[in-house]
Amino acid sequence: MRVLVAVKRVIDYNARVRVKPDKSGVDLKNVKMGMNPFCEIAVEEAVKLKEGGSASEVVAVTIGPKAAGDTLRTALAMGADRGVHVLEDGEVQPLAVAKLLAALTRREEATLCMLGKQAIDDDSNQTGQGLAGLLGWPQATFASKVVVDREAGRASVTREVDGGLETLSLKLPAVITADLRLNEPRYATLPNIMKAKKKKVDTVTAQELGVDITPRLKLVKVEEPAKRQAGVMLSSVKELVDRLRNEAKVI
Amino acid sequence: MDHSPKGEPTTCNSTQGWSPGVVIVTSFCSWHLGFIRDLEEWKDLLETLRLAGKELLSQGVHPVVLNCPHRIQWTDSNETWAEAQLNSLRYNRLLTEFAQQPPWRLLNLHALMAACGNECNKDRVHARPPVYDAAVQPDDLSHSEDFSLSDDTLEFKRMADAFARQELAPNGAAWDAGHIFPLDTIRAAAGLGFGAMYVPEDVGGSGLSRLDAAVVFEELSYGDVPVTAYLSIHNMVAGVIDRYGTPQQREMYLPRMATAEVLASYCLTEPGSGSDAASLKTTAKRDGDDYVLTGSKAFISGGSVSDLYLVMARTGAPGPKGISAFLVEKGAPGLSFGKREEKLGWNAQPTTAVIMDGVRVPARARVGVEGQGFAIAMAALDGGRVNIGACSLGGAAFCLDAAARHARERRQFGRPLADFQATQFRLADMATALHASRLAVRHAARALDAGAPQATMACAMAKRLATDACYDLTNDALQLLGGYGYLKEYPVERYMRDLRVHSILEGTNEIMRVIISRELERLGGV
Ligand SMILES: Cc1cc2nc3c(=O)[nH]c(=O)nc-3n(C[C@H](O)[C@H](O)[C@H](O)COP(=O)(O)OP(=O)(O)OC[C@H]3O[C@@H](n4cnc5c(N)ncnc54)[C@H](O)[C@@H]3O)c2cc1C
Repeated sequence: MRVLVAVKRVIDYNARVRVKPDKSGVDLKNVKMGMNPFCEIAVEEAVKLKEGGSASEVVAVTIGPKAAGDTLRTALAMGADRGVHVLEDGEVQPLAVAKLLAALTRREEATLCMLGKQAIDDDSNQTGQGLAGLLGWPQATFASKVVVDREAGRASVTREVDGGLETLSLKLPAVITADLRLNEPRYATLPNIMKAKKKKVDTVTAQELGVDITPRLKLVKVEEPAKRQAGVMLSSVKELVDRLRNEAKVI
Repeated sequence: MDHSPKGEPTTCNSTQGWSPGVVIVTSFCSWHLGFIRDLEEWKDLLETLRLAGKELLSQGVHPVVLNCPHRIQWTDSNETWAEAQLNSLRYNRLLTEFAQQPPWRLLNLHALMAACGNECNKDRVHARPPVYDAAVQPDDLSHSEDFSLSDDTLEFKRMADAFARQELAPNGAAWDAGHIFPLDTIRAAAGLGFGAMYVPEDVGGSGLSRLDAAVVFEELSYGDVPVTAYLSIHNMVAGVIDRYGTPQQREMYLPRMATAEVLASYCLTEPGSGSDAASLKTTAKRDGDDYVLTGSKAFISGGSVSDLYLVMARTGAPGPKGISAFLVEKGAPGLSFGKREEKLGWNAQPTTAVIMDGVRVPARARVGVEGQGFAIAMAALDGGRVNIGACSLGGAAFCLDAAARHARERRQFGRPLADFQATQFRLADMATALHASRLAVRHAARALDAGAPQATMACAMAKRLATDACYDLTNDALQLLGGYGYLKEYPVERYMRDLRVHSILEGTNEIMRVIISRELERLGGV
């Protein structure tokens, strides 16, 4: 079973997000970038599936500019077997990403697609769902536990839902998106980082894959949340009631 | 219980869809939970609220808990990313349970805020200036990116940075306060390849260059200085065994040193010989196929916890040529350790005397030939100085980031400290000092990799410059934090204490000047 795992290069989860003065987006100049944390979890799970004997090969895919090659290398250092880099400098929206991944899934004859549930930059939470739709495959999103039964050709996926845990049984091939508590991604070791360099990475373009990635959505503007005034400390419940009644006039 | 603000009161002008008389209490978004350090404190807070709720009800006001379901956010407490997620889930559960019992009612904050045209906001109310937390905050200032680093080196750097922030930084304060030597963390670090970095892969090493290692040590020490410094000494001894050891010694020790199953210390200094190391008195007397070692070593980092001791001892005449190097295993009869020294810093690793009273080792425990010991010890220190310089860089980088953040957030005279030109100039000087130190350290590492004739001088210069400048930087950072800098709650003082010794050990900075002058003479530079 071949697992395709998608990884996205995003602004580091610790980095301070600054909106560009012209409100056209987030300023990514001189900002630390790294693999989307949910993608790391997806890679970890795919590598675990391989280590556990359920998967035979893990192919990591990234879509983005040349710099996204770093993210692919991180996935290879974590244990993916080879990489595919869809080289695109411009904006690639979730639907286009899903289409590109669908094309690659077919080309690579993958049986399982592992993705993060969302990327922490746009928080779109659409790609996995879109991919499953395009492929006509079953999907399990927000996975917190994945068990693959290779013989039966099925995957059992536990999801964290508001009321508790939900377990789905999917027929493979399928798409699974990773939630936070699925696993704790490993650190790549120094020797594996060096070995990653020797792993094969194919570079393709959307055009070569025959996918139209023209943006369908137009970004109107990006703004920082309004700054609010600091709160005040009140000394007693009495004072609180008084203020709410006479000052805020909400009771 | 500390009654500093735990959350930002949210007032809502529209009470649309709500019966009058409802009080909106506060948003318990995990952005705000940063003020609550543990579940116990959280329970305390809920108990206070429960009592307040009763009082409110008695005044005809219905108390309501507003719960922000944000979970995937950070808290300010000392926890890893994953822990933060789990904890915020636990906090939310406790709150939900609490709000299911009268007098409180639970409402979803986001829904209400949306109804009021507002949105969840991560700006927080602070009783004290926030503590810079490397595990969760970016390093905006300390990174003067070296564009000459290879992709590989950058990848090692990223990984070391993640490890430092997630595994070291959250624990540094506790290790310091409790004088804890964190063996598990050191083994975890070795599991990633940090145990024998510049040892080849045939014996389990990582096969990195000195430059790579310097970059890694810098990143690691951002999270914790003494643990990284201990690793650097362990790596130094591994380097000696690799370079000067017999094939048997390499096989016997290096694979286990790479995994940190065997930890190593370097023993040169004696009570009577510090800077004048060549005057050491410990003797190794040949006795048939063995040597018998007698004497004592002082100030040994890792003394009593390390498994293997590289001991310099006299086998011949006085002076440097009469010294040989030996590998002594812990447990050898006659080997004992002094008390753990009480120190200003470096508390996460013990420093003890190593006492040898007729310790018998086989001749094959000698490293190199007889009389080569001092040369080996000095060559090891060239690399050691790059490493210790790198450890200073990481500590200073942390303090620079902490100071810069503090300057932005702390307001006096109606504006952030960062608005005063004096602050800006100080930060500019700190960043410049760090940058210059970093260049010197990386250049010295490159000189070692290249086997350049200037390597010894470059290492001495880098160590002298970086350790002094970085210590001064930590002191400047402390000054910028004002009184808070003096408190242990703010980690700058710990980094300052930890960095102080770097100007003393692996050759004092005065001895660095002695070496630099000697090398200048030798190289015909003056
Ligand atoms: C926490 C800690 C850990 C250590 N770990 C180790 C270890 O693992 N292994 C090890 O072997 N040693 C270790 N040391 C010892 C350290 O290397 C020595 O302390 C150092 O070399 C200085 O020696 P000394 O303390 O005897 O000082 P001294 O040599 O007595 O020096 C005292 C002062 O005189 C100055 N001085 C001396 N000679 C000259 C000169 N010719 N010109 C100008 N100034 C001079 C020195 O610079 C210093 O300022 C450690 C020390 C500390 C504090």
